[in-house]
Amino acid sequence: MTDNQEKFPQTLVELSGFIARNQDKLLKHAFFRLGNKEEAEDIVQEVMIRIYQQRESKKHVGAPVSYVFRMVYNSCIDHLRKKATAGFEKINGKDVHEGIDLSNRESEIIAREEFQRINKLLGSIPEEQAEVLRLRIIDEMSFVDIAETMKLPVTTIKSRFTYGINKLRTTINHQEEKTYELH
Amino acid sequence: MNCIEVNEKMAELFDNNVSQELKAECEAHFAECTDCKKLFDEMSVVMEELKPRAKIKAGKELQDRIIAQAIKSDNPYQTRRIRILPILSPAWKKVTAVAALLLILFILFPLFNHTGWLQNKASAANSILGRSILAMTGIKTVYMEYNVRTSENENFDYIDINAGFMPYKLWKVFDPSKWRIEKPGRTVVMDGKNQYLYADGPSGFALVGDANAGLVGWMKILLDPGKILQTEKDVAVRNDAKYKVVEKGNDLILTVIAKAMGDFRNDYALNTSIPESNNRRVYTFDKTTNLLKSLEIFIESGKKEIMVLQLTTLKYDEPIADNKFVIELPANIKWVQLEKMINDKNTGLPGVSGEEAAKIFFEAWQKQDWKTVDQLMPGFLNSADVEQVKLEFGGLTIVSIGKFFKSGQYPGEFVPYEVKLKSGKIKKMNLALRNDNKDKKWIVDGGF
Repeated sequence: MTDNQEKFPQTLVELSGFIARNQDKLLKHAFFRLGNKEEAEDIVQEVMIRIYQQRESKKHVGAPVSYVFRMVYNSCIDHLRKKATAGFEKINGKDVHEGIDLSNRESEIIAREEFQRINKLLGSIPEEQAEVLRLRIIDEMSFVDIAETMKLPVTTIKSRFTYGINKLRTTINHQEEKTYELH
Repeated sequence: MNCIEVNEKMAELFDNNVSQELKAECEAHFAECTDCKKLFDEMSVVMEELKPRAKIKAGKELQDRIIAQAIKSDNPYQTRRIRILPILSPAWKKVTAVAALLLILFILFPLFNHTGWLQNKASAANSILGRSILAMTGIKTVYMEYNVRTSENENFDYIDINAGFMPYKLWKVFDPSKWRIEKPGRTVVMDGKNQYLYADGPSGFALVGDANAGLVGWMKILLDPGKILQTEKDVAVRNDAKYKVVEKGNDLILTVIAKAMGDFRNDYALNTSIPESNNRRVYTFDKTTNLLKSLEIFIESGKKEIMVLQLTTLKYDEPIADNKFVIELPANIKWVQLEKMINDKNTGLPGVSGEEAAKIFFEAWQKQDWKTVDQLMPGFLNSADVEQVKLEFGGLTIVSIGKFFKSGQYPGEFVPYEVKLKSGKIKKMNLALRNDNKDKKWIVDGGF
């Protein structure tokens, strides 16, 4: 189902369907910002409850999935800010994984490693470029949707994408050369 | 396209909805320009590097958790506390009285003396709130008689639209707050300190809870008028209930049309209580005093409406004897402390799924392992007809145990089962289990 076919859930049955169709991508989005599945689930849960409580006033929201995505996106940013203020983590993602309890579950450990690997790469470029790359590559959003989510012009998004990816291209090439030298 | 043009458009090649035309033009250029092709390939490598190799998938429990919380947000009366009588309850419903709902409405609905339909505009009735509080603060006692379509020995708020009417009685003293509600087979009393529930009949049992015991259900909130009013306003704002008030002579007739609240992906619990039904509630108030005179509640079933509750007698300020708020138990029944029973280390089964708990429960009946039966259905060994029940159900054979489902506002799970009794009788029902206690222990709540 595309966002055009979705409507803002008005009943528990509709909410249930909405969750089933969208929870994976929302959770993925939150996880690759927070690096912790429990925190990511909490954010998705809070947002879903909020949209259900606001269902009456949001009845006419045109693209509910994008709308909810933005809510999760903003909640993650708020969450990271709060943590940064509390002195636990840095916003730029470089140290986000520090101090997080690792779950014993194998799948979550793999996911956490992926989070750390990707964040390590993205940590070498400015955060505003990293954010565009996350939304485009991890969340598979189009440039238009990213622009809408970040409230920026599409041209800015495209240039941040290009700058970010070019910087990483150099980094990755450099890493590959180093690896080659070791052999 | 030349190199500069291709470089300008390069980002678009990595967009979700890149046009086929642009793609073809760039590919044509790449065929001739190795530098641009190299740049594109390297950018593609970065894209691949940044793709997560692990799939993030939400578990089913996340959805359940959200739905459970959404239900709770719909119904602030619902608490996480155990408030169900776990003992030999023939069905699974909560121990909350229909009369409790009646009390809410009795106290609150003088608020809505507007004319015309109001939807989600409870706050508009603010000016009426003061009047109704004043009206209520002047009242010392209330006595009600009303009929409800339900079954004997069932929980107070249980509705069965196919059953006949059962008589209910309610006594309420306002200062200090005490109340008593009776229906065939069950009585609840609040004496100012504790709540007591006594179920008579062959499966008799008696439970007592402290001031915060789950037995109170909605009551505790309802008996604090300020809190009730605020809570009810919040409920009205959140729910799609419609209100209409019409003046007729010296009466104000309020009609409330409310939708069923709960999770009805499985409609097993639909129409089993007033909140879990699409219903119409019609109240008549005295225009001068703002006090309730009559009440009728109808449940929508298919294309017809069925009356499920009718107030027949209502008296204000009649003297109520103090012994009305005391329950005398027969000699063979003892009060069981609900909290103590729930928190007992031998009560409930933690660390398994609801379905597993159901299986263990029926296996215990099969093996006549009464200790395990009592563990999962606390109070069983203290019930009046324990020996008779042992005889009838002991040694049963499990035919099947199905997959659990949730329904309505019930905080636990229903597990479908089929068992064959020694008598040859087949029992096919849904076992109700809940683990919304601090140790997440499964307790059989009913359906057996």
